[in-house]
Amino acid sequence: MAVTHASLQVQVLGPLSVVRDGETIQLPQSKKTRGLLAYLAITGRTHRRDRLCSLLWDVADDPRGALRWSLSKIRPLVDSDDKRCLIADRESVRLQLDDTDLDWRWARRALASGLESISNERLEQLANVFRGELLEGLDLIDFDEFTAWCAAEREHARTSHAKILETLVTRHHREPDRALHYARDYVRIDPLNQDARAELIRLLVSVGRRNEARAQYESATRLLEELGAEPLGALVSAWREATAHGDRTESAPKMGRAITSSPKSAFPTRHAPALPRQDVLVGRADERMRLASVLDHAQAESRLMVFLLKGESGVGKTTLLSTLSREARQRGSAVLEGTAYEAEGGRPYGPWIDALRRLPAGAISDPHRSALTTLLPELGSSDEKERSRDHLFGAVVDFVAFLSAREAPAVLVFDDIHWCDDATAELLHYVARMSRDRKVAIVLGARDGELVDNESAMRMLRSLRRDGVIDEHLLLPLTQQEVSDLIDRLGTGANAAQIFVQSGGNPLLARELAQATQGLNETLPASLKDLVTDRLARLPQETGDVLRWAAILGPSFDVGLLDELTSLEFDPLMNALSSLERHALLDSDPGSKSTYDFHHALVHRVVYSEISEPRRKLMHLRVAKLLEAREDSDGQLAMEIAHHACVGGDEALAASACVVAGNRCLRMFANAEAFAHARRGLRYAESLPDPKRLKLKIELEQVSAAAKIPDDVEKQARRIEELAEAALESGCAEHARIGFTVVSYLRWNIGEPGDAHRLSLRAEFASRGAGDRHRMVGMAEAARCLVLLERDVAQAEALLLEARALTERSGESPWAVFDGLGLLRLHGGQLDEAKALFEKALVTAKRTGDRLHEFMALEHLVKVSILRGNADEACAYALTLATIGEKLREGSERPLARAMLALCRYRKGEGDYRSALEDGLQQLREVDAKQRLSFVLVEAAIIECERQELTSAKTRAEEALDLALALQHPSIAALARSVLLRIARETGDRDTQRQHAQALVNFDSVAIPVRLLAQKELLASGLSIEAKEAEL
Amino acid sequence: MSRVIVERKLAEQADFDELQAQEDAVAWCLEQYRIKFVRSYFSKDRSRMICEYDAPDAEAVRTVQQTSGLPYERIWTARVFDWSK
Repeated sequence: MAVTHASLQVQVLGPLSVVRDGETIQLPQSKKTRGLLAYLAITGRTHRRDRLCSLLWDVADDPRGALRWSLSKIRPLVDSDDKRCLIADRESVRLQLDDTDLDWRWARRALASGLESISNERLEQLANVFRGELLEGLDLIDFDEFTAWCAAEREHARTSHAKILETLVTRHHREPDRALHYARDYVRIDPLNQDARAELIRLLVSVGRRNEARAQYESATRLLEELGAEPLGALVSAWREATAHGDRTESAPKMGRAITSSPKSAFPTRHAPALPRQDVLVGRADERMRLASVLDHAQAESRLMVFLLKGESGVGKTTLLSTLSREARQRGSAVLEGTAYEAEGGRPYGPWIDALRRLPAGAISDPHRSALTTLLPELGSSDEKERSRDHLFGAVVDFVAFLSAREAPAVLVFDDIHWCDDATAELLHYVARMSRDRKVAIVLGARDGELVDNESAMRMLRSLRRDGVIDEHLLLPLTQQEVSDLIDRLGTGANAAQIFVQSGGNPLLARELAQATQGLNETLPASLKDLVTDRLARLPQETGDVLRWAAILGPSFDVGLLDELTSLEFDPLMNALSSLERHALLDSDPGSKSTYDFHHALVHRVVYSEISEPRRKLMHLRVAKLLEAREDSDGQLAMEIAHHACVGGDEALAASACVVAGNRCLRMFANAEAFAHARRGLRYAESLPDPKRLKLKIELEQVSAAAKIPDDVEKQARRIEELAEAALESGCAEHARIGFTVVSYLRWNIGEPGDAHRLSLRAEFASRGAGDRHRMVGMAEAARCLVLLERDVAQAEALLLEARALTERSGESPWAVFDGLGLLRLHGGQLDEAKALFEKALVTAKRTGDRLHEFMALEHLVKVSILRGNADEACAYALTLATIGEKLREGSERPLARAMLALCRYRKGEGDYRSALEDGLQQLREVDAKQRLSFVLVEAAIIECERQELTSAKTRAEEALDLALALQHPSIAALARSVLLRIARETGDRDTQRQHAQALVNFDSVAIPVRLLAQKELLASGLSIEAKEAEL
Repeated sequence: MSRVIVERKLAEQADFDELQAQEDAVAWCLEQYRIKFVRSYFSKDRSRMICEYDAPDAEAVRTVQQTSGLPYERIWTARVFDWSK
């Protein structure tokens, strides 16, 4: 094969591997680093660094640093002295491989010319390149983009492989022995392809293996039954043909439970007898002593002890931790024992929940029950007021403190923390921080190589290291003597020296090897994967199916669910489970009668990866449907449904489950997980038809906004605004309203993104009893009123957007929509946008002939021009304003127009407009228009301040401040205070300076242009708007 | 707070309930502007009305009156002389 000649080969068809000069190179243990290597190798193009960061490190504290770290691990794998393959600069990264350096690219190039033109020999070469599923075992389920890319590549590779195999089977049909090999492979990778199965049955019959042909038919029908399908013509006729050639009395086995009778003997006689179930602990005396001393110190010194046990997978961490738990219980300790699972990253507090559920009945007594219901809803209901993240964390700390009040310390054992979710790590960290002086021992287990991939676990460990409270130990492989002791204890009679060499001292592998060799004189398989695969192949069909369904459910699963999935009756199912337990593939969970765990995460992974992709997909789909039919009022199942539906390809179900899961995470204050669910759901929803797509996307955006404010708020807000408008077009008014509320929440970051109901009620109230258009006008007016008063601008935005979208459908939007949105943009400091909106408002007012509206649009145009620093433009608008003002009836318009015109001219320094300004101001006082008066006053004060007419400026600013305080108008008050702060600074009046600075620091919710000015003045006084009072 | 007086000249035979309904429609707006209704005087021939409000300023009352579309002739701030107290 061409690839073997290259000095560097990156192999992705099967588990990822890198071979240099014929030697397989050890890959970094960090899964993300391996994922990055695979991604760079397969895509082969240049990627921007920020794209790669968002692909794999979207929630990291320092994504670019993490990327640099990973690249530094990849470089020595692919670069050599004479050739640099990894090309990286400050902005971009590329892995430059020749076509022959990457197996998948080599295969694709070979297939590009079409299968017909490829010789048999070459085709066989190609078939051998496919060593397994593309990037087998390299799943990064929390990273959607990577997962989506990987799934597409896998599908492409599988289809290519299937075509090669199909062609080979066809071409060798005259040589059944040769064709058989490819036909088996074809069925393995595509077990639901009935034509492939039919061909395999024909080939088996033609070489006289009728029993095997029958087994294949049975396997196919059972699989189809489990997945709710029927055998089609090709399969049935292949079976008929097969039986027609042989024993004519043999009829096609019937589908259904009848064919899956209880296995009389769980394993064929060829299979070795079972090993002891319990894990055998050999050696590790030092580690056991250290762990015991952790408990001793916690107890004797009444203080927190934290211990981290690190090591490669299968080296015996879990066995040691279980031993510790047992010993701690014997000493009288309360033990909280949880494990993180790779597939459960989106299940917030998963290990905590499991640990609490495993406690003996009654262990959680009354004062703690209601406080812990956020984690364990089955404990009852809690007071809504008490539902907060702080309350939850406090409740867990209190509970741990309660457990530590005994003589023996409270022991928290958390295994596989390299997979733990953010919420678990944060809670663990909090408990550690708050339990310093309590009898608490926290013992953690982790694969050290994979820890670097878990940002939140690393953050917790860094902090514990900084505080000097953590003791760490690297668990090394067993020595030759220890392996020999292990083999003796297992009593298999295996060759200990050979097993030591092959296992490298890894106890899991050593045990598996010992089991594989007992009583047999065979060549040992090389890896754990081969060992487990070999063992799987020897299982009776039904037992193997049980194990496969279990693997679909996860490393830890519920027997009740398994019972509904398999075609076995209850007794045969229990027999199969007992067999699997006896043979150390599964363990029953000591803390739960109905839960089983895979013996080791690696065993689970091997079994899972042995299931072909199409079969896996259908099996997951069935689990998703089964779970969907269950009662799930609290959303506990939603995360599982989302996972199974996603792998099963039911995007609508996956997306809607993500909404439920995301909301549940929010209720549990697990924002990182909620955000991840929302993002995942958005990806699934994309391919759905409207209006389903729109509705789900809006609901998911709502979850996303509540979980995390996006980096580019405006971009995100516009996208959701478009979705809401489209939802309105599709007649989904309620979802449109949710969308607008989310937009307003994002723009103003006030209130709650889920507050659409309250908003709509208020809007209804503001405009009740009116017709549709009138209702919208009323809503827009109400919103405009909120902006003018600077009260709840977020609500105002949502109402205005909704009113605009609704009124645009029936023609032109009303004046209040444009003017209101203009005021909002003015408040937000988007002056160009504000100006455009006020101009629209002006046009609308002119068209409807409403002079008052025309006046107000012009008034706002003058304001926006002043803020944009365009004095000529402000003057021009003020002139028109004055003209209209003179024509309007009694009110504040005429005096305001006069005052504004005088102000604009005063600013330009045209003649002496000071007396005109004073007249205008006086008239505004007389008509008691405080807001308009205070605006003109403060603007005049700003002009005078610049001209160093400080006395006059001060008088005006003080009057403006009094008015603003009476009106409770924050922006004008802040503006007036900024001017007064400047005057105090310039006149050296320290007390007044401190007084205004203090008030400015406490202002929040002021308009952005005002905030900028206040910030400038505070800085000039040597302070910032975020300053603490003590600094003042 | 200012005492603000609204003088209204109404169309002939105005219906008090209709006026009240119009006023109710902007109750939310009044609340936002912190305007409190004090009392009204309705002439017996139903052609004139005077309403009293407590408000931060007369302008706030003007704004709400304009929004509600209620007819008014003049709006002004008053000093209250109450000799009965």
